[in-house]
Amino acid sequence: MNPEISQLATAIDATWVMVSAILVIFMQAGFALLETGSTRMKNAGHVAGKTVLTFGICSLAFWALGFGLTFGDGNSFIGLSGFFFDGTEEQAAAAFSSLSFSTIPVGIKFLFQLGFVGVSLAIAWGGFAERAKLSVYFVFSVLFTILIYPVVGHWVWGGGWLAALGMQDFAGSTVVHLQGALAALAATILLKPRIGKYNKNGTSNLIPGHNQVYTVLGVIILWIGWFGFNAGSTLGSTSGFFGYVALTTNLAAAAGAVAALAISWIVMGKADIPSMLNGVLAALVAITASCAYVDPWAAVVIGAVSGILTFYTSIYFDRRGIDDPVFAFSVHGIAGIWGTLSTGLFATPELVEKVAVGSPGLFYGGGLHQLGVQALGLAGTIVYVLAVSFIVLGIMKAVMGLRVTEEEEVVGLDISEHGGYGYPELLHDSKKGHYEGGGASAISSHSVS
Amino acid sequence: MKAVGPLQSPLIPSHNREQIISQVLTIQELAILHRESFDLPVLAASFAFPGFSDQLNDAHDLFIRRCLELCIEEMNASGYGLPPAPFAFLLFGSGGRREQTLFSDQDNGLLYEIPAQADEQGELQIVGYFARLGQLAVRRLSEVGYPPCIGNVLCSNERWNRPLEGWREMFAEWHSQPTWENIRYLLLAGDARMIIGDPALFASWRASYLQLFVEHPSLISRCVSNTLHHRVPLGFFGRIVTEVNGQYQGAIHIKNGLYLPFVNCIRLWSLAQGISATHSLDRLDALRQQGIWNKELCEEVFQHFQQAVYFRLLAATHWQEDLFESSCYVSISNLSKNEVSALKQAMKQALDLHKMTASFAKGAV
Repeated sequence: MNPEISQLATAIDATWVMVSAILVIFMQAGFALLETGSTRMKNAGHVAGKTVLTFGICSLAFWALGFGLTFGDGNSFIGLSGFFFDGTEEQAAAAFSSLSFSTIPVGIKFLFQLGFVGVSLAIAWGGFAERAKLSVYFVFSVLFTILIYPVVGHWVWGGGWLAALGMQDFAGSTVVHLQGALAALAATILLKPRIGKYNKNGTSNLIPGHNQVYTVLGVIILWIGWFGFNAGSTLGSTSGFFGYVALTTNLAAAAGAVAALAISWIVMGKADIPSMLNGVLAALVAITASCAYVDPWAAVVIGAVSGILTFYTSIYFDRRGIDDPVFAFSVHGIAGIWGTLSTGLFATPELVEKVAVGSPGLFYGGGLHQLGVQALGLAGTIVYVLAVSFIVLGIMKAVMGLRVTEEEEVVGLDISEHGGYGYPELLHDSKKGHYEGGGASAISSHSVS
Repeated sequence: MKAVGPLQSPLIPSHNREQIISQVLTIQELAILHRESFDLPVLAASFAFPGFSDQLNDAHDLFIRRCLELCIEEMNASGYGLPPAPFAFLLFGSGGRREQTLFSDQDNGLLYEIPAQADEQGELQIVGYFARLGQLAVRRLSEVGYPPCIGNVLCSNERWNRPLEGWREMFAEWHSQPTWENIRYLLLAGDARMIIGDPALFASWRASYLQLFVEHPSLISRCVSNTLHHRVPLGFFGRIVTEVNGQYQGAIHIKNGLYLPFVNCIRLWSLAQGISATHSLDRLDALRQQGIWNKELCEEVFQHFQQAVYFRLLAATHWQEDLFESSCYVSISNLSKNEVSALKQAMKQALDLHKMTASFAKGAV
């Protein structure tokens, strides 16, 4: 290949990854709509708005430390170089050998990886929803981006010990989704259930989201964004492999939607839309690890199983007293675990050879080896992320407190944390007393008279 | 066919209850007696006795009748005099069908006659009297222990308190504008039973009502969607579909999910045949006698309906709060294996009745 063609190939690859980075970052819009639609009107502005805030904080923290800790050259546990990323190929050559397999500009690699940590953090927020203080979002955004995410990210993708073992996590069922979900689980346990969630007899009340259309739109955006997430993880397009990854991704999502709706219909006697939406997301989470390693039929199986698993586990955790407002742990955690294990079952020899990571799965004559590696990776991730999340959030709880006051929770975080409602026309009059007590503008207007 | 149990059980105010209740002189006294009579822990052991439901409804009738008598006395003592025209106090819903449980709300109406010779002032006086009586009755019944119907099917509501001609006009309106709501009213009226008043007046009212279906047989098909409105929560593979969330997690709404499907189907078939009985088992008996439903089907429906009534009574024992709402839910985990099996069988029967009724409306039967 002469230099001109090679440059052209790099440019095409770079363009695809840039588009993918944009798609992945656009998933923030999906999460904003999903989480806002799934929670109550009085918290809508806060839930949506904090997505922008935390992605901003995350971007700065990842630029300063997170990117170097995740992908920088270091040891098998953590990266130790490439901090305060300057976007130059010189720094890339000196500090990011884990990313050197792709020739696209390192700035695009950074943006693409930033999109991933942003998604992981957005998942974690599900566990904080409707009762965490705004200040918690500032602090935990930084700590998650530099203390939690980079460690497992480095283990699997940054040349760490799981990469050396050949763990297959193509686009991050474990690295992105499970990590976010474990942080969400720790948070929701420490925050305790929302007011009114559980009855005296221990039964749980459904606290429905205020706008199912937002939730549906959020899921559609995420579904589309996932083509950047998974197919973009090929870090190139000239081989054409990204098309195959997109195919398995879409098949899994479709199977997850159908299976989750069907199981909700069978169990609850009604075709439950939120259950179906969770099924889609769970299937996408699960196929994230295995999208490059499995046959299309296996993608359908992986997606369908995810939809069913998530349905049952969300009910299970809810009944165990864990108030996870948007079922983050079931959707991203349980499905993340299943997806990570699934490649140990379904990875085909041809695709493993193509991707050149790990070995074939159990059902393709690979024995238990790959499944064992996947399970080990999961165990390590669960122990590390849960432990650090509990420590970090535990310290935050002791020092600054995690939860708003009972009164603030009742009036809603829009007014208590931001001084204005996301739906002012709807909530202003009916909550007049609250508005007057909480909003500076309202107080001043009364002071005038 | 109706079950009549040889019941001398620890039930309701036993032998001399009629005498005791009829001698009560104040609403307060009646309320205390009502509370003592319908004591859930005392009565729970008797739910399975045949005939318990009949005795329970006898008792409800006595309380409601006495309360209304006291209302009329109160009207008289307050200077409004005695009823100025023939009237009939109507019970709708489970009261009309004599199928009330321990915790029942009010569904009632008032029917009266304005004499042909009455002048405008006389007519106004009659209307005013019964409007006032209706409001008083709802208040006093509530004090005795019958909370008002949240759907406002109450004799304090003009819609359900009117002269015979007014009722006839309303029947015509229901027929000519068969909206979902009007059909709901029409079916509600199908369960009407007079608790006190003039039997001849009520008979005229009833005849006018039934005549509607004779003159307009197509009304029956308009009633089907309303009749089949409540779904039977029996899912795939015969699985009982319970509440997933909330205070009644693991329970089913026995009233909507089992009892009402039976009641509604039996009612529709009966109305189509001009049957005037209101108790579901009496209607069932009439359907059998007229050869509309065969003996085997009637026997099956009879048994399963009895089960539905039993589960409906049992529901109140499954919850600590004896609220009106909680008495509608049966917790599956509190049922024995045999009870769950009986419940499933009854639900299957209810589903079959739904299918039969849907086919009936299409003219397939």
